[in-house]
Amino acid sequence: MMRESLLWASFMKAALLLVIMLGFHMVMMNMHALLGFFGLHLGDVLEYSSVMERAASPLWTLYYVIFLAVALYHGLYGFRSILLETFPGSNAITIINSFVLIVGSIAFIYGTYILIQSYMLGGV
Amino acid sequence: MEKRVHRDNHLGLKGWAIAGKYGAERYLYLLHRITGLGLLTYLLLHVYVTGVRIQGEAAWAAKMAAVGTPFFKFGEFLVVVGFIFHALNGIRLLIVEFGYCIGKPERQEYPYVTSVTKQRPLTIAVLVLAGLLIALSGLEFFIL
Repeated sequence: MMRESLLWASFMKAALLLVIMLGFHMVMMNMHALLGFFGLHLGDVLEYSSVMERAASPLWTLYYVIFLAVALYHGLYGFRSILLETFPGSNAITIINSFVLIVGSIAFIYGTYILIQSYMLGGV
Repeated sequence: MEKRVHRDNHLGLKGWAIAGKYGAERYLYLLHRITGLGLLTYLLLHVYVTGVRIQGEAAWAAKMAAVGTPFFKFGEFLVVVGFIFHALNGIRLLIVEFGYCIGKPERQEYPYVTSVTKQRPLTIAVLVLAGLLIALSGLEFFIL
């Protein structure tokens, strides 16, 4: 089992990465008037053709895989901390660790599968 | 002999908000947790919803129409608000974690000044910046 201090340090590094990655994602997806003010016109980023155009890019695909991993790690580590505090006890640790690991693995595998499928579809 | 009474000092969820005389930072901590849980829930739903794109354009358009209502738009605004607060307050927590903005250890003399008081200007700066960014997002979402 990884040392708790290493998990905590990774949690903080993930937080810094997320501020940049999620901040960029939020601005790109929601702040079109603001971007227009700076001369950036992305069009309708939620239109299917636009979504699949990004999906066809290996760089965007890699970006989203890393983004997903970092976001899941940071979010689920935080959730784990809350659960451990709420349900103290040695028995609870194993259950909570397993639960968080299973949820994280399912979400990461599903999200990566979607990204790879989209990459293949977008590339057609 | 006096009978010893076991007192459960584990407050659970109630302790997040009510366990004594909490300062402002304690309520920011509570809000940090709530926004964190909200963002995690959104992340898992977001991964599921955006996965629809591999089913084709019609399925994607139908899903986007379903989440394009004013209710979901307001929900999306709340996600942005939650992110702005969580990110800026998180940066404050990291700064404090690494020992910045809390002053150096010193001999305590009345009136006592704690590290919490010393980092208060940082808290105020974070809240002002969060307020400005949230107002800007509100303009973007509902006015522009």
